[in-house]
Amino acid sequence: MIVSRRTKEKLIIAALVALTGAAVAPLFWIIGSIVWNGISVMSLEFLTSLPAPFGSSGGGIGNAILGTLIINLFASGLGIPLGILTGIYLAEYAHDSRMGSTVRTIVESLSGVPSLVIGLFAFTLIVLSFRHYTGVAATLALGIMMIPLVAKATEESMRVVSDDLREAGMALGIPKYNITTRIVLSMAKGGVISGSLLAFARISGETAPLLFTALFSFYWPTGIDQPMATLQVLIYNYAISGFADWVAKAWGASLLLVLLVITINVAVRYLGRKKYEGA
Amino acid sequence: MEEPDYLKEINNGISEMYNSIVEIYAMVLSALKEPTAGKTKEICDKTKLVMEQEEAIIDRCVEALIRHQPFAGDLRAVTSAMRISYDLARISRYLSNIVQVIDDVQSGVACAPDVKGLLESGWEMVQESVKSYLSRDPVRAASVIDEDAKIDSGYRKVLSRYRDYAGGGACVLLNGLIARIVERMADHACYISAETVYMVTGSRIGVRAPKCPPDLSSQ
Amino acid sequence: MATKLVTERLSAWFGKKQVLKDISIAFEERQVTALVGPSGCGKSTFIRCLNRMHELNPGARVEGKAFLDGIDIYGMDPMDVRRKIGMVFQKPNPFPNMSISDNVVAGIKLSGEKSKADLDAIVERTLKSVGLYDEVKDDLRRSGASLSGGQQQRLCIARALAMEPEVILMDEPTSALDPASTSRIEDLIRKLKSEITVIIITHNVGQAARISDKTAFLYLGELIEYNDTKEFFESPKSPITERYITGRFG
Repeated sequence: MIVSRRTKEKLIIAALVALTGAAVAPLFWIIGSIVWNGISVMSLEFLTSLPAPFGSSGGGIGNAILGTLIINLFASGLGIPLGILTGIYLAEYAHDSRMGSTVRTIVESLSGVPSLVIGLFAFTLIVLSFRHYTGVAATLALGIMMIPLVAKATEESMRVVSDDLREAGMALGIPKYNITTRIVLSMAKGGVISGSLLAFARISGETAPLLFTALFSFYWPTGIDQPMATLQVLIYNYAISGFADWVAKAWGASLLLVLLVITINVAVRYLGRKKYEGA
Repeated sequence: MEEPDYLKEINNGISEMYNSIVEIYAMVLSALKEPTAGKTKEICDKTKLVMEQEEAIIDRCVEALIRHQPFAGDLRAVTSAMRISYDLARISRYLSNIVQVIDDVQSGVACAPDVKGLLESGWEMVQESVKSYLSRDPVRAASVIDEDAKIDSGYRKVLSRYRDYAGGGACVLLNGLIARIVERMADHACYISAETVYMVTGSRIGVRAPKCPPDLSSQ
Repeated sequence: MATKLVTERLSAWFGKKQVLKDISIAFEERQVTALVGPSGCGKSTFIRCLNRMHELNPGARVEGKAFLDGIDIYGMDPMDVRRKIGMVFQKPNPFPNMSISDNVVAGIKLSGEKSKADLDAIVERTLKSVGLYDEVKDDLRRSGASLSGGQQQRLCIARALAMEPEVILMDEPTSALDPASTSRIEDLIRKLKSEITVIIITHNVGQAARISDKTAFLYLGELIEYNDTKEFFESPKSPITERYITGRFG
């Protein structure tokens, strides 16, 4: 069969659309299920109260929401600064040195380490030493996971800044640390913020390290050194529990998580677009 | 060094101007042999042509400055050509003045054997100066300047010989005026040579300054 | 005329490749000196040795001496050198994330030392001296990058001048600009030389002839000729200079 060029073109386009649809369909299906199943559980009580005793309905996941926020914030407090500093080092101080490429390799490998293993590391280092489950270990694990993401985003955004500007700074006799922070980093801040937000979104989804660091709790968090409930672990526990009420709550928690992650991604896109419009 | 086209054209202009002057010189020689009337008109037309050629060269030089903004050797070549065109124009005027003098004095060439020799020497200088310019030869040009002294002394000899001449005013006028004209013509040949030296080497020989006698009041 | 900046047998390398060979030259105070020569023959490298920016390149090496008012440039703190010897680049490079006024005083504000200077006065004074003030005075808080090419370059010159340098180095400052902007900057340079020493690299021989008092010709890393501009352009001594400025090569 002799197929004309135009027909071929149309066939290819049709195939591409179909395949793209196939790739995107699961996403819609997942989000659809989550929204469908989770929306029915949403209520003020759900968001603000502690879990009710076994078997009874009502109660909520307030402690898990708070726990996730606390752990994420502390992890960011660890991961973002360290990530930015690493990124600055890689971008400005270690271009062609052996030390620099070693550090870069290590950072890149770190992003490939399974989160479970990082959790194990935190478990061994902190939980075992202090002999109880603690949010600090979770913070450490998640913070470590953020470092490569933030470092990469920082390094890349800073690299993109034209050398002309560094030269201009040098020619004015501005010390290098000021050139790095107040000129280059300042120009790269869009990328750094996006990278940090995306890292935050990423750790919001990590469950494995939390399983044996922060563990779980049915109570409000009393201190970062104590075990804490988190949305992720809650979803895990409730979903396999077999209690219908808990399963429903798991959908609700999933909906919250998905909303958080999507909001962050949309915000990052919006920030990025604003930059191109000539901010 | 390869010369750009605009310089070649300016050079050609100088060459053509020189050829016109060669023709004028031939007319001068024949006027000396046979001072017939009417030569003045012929030579006057030719001189007009030379003036037009001078204007054309100046024009081309200005255009070269505008268009090409030359530097170094090219710049010197342009400014030299402008000055030389003026010197050549003067030389053609001097030659036509000689014919005018012959016509005005209405005297035969029998009066003027000395001055004929002087004229030939002066003309020789003009030829050498233009040829050394066209061939960009500063050494040859410098030797022309050395010849000027001979013309000067020749001129003075003519003056002293004819100051007390008994053979008639016409001869006195003829010889005196022609000798003077030749002396000026030789000076312009020197100026042309000095421009050649400047054009090639960049240094100026100050021949245009008048040769002032020593200041007697200071003695 | 006193000499402001002197080099003695200054040589420079990029790794193994020698790009400057024994350059000895004395720049006169409060004059404009033009550096001309074909591309890639060391002119930029040379001026970057003067403000100690060449050594920032990996593998770069400098030998020989350079003196500013008799003081060894390579014995001074490099940042001090760069504050006294300012530089303007070929491609205008104002800081895009800073306003016009912040750009002008960037060198002062970010110098790492507390300055008591009246920054607003400095902004106004330097913008006026480069002829930019009237064009931008209604909104000095606009980004430095929102200006046209010629304005950006004048802003960069103002930024360099705000440091009150004694010498200003210019690396082909107008080659990326249109003729009108070029002309304004040439006028500015003529004005500047009454206060500061200017060393300008230009590949445009006509520009050197227009604005400089002295001209130096660098070829293949060597100083071939250095003279008063009129003499340089009327009767250069070296045949290589002659061939270059009459456009026979380069």
